[in-house]
Amino acid sequence: MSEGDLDHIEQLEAKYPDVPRFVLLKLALRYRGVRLLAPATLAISDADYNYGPVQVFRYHDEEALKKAHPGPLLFRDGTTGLVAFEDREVFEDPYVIDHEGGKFLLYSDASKARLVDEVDFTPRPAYYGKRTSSGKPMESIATARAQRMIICAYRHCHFWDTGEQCKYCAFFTDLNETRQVSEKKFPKDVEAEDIYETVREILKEPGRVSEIYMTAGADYEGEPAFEAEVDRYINILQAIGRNFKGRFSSQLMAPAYSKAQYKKLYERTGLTTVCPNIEVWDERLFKWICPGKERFVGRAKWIQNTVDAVEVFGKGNVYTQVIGGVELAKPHGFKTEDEALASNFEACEFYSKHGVVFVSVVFGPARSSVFHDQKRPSLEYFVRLIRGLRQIREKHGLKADNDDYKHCGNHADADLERVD
Amino acid sequence: MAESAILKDGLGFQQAAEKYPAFPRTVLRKLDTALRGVLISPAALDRARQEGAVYEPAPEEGAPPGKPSLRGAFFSDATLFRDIEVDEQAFARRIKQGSPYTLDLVEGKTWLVDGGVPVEQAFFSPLPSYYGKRTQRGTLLEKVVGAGPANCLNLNILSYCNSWKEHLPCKYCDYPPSFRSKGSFTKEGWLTQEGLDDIAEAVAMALQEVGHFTCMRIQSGSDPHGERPFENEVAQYVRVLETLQGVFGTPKVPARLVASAFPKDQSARVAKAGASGYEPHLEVWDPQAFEWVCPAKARYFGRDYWIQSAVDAVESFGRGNVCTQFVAGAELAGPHGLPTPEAALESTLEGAEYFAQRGVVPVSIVLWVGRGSIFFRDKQTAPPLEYYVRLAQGFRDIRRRHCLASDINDYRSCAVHPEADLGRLDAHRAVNGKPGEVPCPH
Amino acid sequence: MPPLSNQASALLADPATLKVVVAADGAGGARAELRPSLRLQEDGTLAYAEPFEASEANSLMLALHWAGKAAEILLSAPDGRAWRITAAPRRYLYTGPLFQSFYREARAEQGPNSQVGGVWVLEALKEEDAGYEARKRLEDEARPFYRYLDRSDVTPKGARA
Repeated sequence: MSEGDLDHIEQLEAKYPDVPRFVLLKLALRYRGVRLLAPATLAISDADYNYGPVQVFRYHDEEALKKAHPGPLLFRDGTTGLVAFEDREVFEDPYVIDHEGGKFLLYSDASKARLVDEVDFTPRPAYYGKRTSSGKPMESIATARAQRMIICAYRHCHFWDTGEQCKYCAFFTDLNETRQVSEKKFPKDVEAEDIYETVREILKEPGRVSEIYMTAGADYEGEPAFEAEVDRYINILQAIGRNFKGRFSSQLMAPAYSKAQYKKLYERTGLTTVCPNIEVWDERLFKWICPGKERFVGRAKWIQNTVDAVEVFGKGNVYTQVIGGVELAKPHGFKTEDEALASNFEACEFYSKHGVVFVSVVFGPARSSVFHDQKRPSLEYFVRLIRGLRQIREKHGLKADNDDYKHCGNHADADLERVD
Repeated sequence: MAESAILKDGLGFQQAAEKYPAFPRTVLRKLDTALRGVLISPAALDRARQEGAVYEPAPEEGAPPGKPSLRGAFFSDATLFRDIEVDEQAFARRIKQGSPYTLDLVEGKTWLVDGGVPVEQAFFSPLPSYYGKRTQRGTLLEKVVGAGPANCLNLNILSYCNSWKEHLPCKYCDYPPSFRSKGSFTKEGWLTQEGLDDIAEAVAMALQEVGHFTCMRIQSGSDPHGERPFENEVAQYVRVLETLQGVFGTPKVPARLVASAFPKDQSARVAKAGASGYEPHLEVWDPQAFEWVCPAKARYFGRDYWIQSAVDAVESFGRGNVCTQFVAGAELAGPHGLPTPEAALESTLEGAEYFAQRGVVPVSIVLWVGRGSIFFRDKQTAPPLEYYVRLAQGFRDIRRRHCLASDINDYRSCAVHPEADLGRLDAHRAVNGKPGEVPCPH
Repeated sequence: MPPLSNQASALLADPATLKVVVAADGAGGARAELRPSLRLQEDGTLAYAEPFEASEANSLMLALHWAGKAAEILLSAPDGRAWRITAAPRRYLYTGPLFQSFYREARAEQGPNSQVGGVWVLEALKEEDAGYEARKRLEDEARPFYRYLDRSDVTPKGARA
């Protein structure tokens, strides 16, 4: 038995009967990775499934652009699996997906010794393959998970300029080198008008989307810090807003702005929720893992600004995320899983008390990140983490609607809330 | 004396409720009222009268005046509790535990009251409409056929029990039967033709009341004599069944016989005569206690014979339609009974399992120590409440495991078997059989 | 609880209303049954005839009663009105005038071979409009992030297909 294999899943099922099998599989697939066998790759080339390799946070060269690539994986109960494929990380013994009898079948490993379950992939949005009036492929402007449209407003993170990027981050790289891809290959700016048109296009597909999500690389220019970025977001959100009557279901994942900046965003746009991710709670580790956030905002202010945002957006409309597992990174991370969990639960308790929804993701050592050679904690660690976060949130009357299985699919603790 | 936690703890209702939180409160209360008895207040008795629930026996020449009586009362879930006495004198006719409950009016509603505290609302059941009417011969119908718990008509077809004649009664028994009427029985104690005619007429009239009755219970004293074992008794049952076939107009009569242990061919004979269910009660499982508590059954014709009779009868009646009863607590009566309630539980549950495996439904009743019985004379007492809780659960579990229920002897037609009350949750899973089918299909 | 609303009472009184009673034990056992006999009594309780003593629905309702829990009633009219009542079983009876009344009603409607196992009396604890529009209003307000963005309330006409 090894971490995340089927025997391990069955053992965890027995130990944690309140965690559904599909959620365990979701975690395991994230953990061990997935390889598509040739028939599956062929099936994905079908127009219904082929998202293509273009992703709004990553650069792809000509060769890569020819490859078919699926959207988020779907389990039979609707749980989304944001699986990592081998281009992003290195996996020793991934699960495999084949295609037989018209179905995608998940197997335990390359030998296909054990069939796990039938799976599916999120269908490709109808706007893919279309272009904006300026000629940009719409899929380069926004991608889509089950119910969420994801827009990247600025394709460069300036924390990387001075080597102060978050150490787990691989945004805007080509996944080969630990650096941002050049402006020439991967233009930073995204035109508001292109975004407006792409959003308008997705709305033509009935029932496809119930949330607009936006993020970008950090741009701390302006006075106060990040003011230029805030103005950029306002411009884009106003363009998006032309598609809607009034406020629209949306989330902005961005740094922890000041209360005044949040007020400006709220009053001038239709934005409904914000998500300034703390990433790691422990003070010492925050400084080590997120040096850019520490320098331009500082941990204490980050936390305070997040709490202040609740006054602007309302209880349950401010989110923050932790990269589960990164707090154990060597050499400075926690020595034991129990210590790491205690730290995360302390964070969740704090934020929940202040009306902020605290969620987690699974740390993935991306090839082009500083932490590319770090190991993840045990799979059971993540099971314990998601159970604990869900219980704490439930105690405080908070639910992660904005970041749930339909909108994000990246937070297994939110998956557990489906039965609440 | 052997150690017994049940005896040592002597749990009262509240303690038992806390120790066994999954045991339905109303069924626990029913057990407790069976042990402690219930006295009805004059106000509640008046209320019961207003609702038509009190039987006031008509005065009979030469007989002592009868007391009013009730057929029990219901809790909110239709669990029936009995043992409601109208006065202290009637109350003293039984040996009970602790202090009695009271049935009284509280803010205009009827409540079971314990130590001044209303604990459970109670509801009366009106008497059947045939009560008070007479046959063409002038016999009061309720003297011919009584109405037991709500759905069941009761017939007693012999005026004697041979066990008493031979001074070998079952030690808990306070027979003789109370229903008699002039000209109904021969000098031997068997029904006359007039008696049979009365039965036919009484049952037909009783069935005119819609929505009241679903079955009948026919019982008698034991008569082991005749050319074959229990031939006399069998013959009487056959006569009554054939009469009832005429009333129902069907070959099968929805009646169960609470009778002696017939040999296989004889139980087949009563099945053919129309009986739908059969109950040769073993009463006590432990061999030594059986001999002592039921000496007549031991003499006629022994424990193994009584066991086999029930098992053999399943072929004629179908699984679920043959029951055997255990008088729970009798197996403990000193000096020859089992030493502790724990030992008694183990023994009785072993017996229940044995029968259940063979398609016979085990049922239990709370030991009733009534005036006129040998146990009353010897001042025997029933074991504590906790014994009955664990026994009922054990019987319920055994029946559940074997998908056994006796619809013809359930909480509505008999109402004295606590496992039948518990078994209401499992009713839909019971696998009852027909004659000739395999007794344990699973 | 105060008396049932006029809407609930009207639906209960309407013979065209479909009346469904659902009992679930929280351990995977559940039963939904049509209960055309369900009615509002003068004292404000609800009552219906359970045809079959040994039905799973009856066992589940008894289990709810013993556990002090509630069942769900759904009323659905042909014109789209729908109402939900959460009601706790308070009494089961198979004798007496109330039982007789249901028994005779069954005889009148279903003929001389009809069957009534018993009658359940329930106390309404909560009621709500279960109609689609009312539910949509509540859900949109409580859970706005589940609204599709192409809905006419969310986007102006021109942006939609």
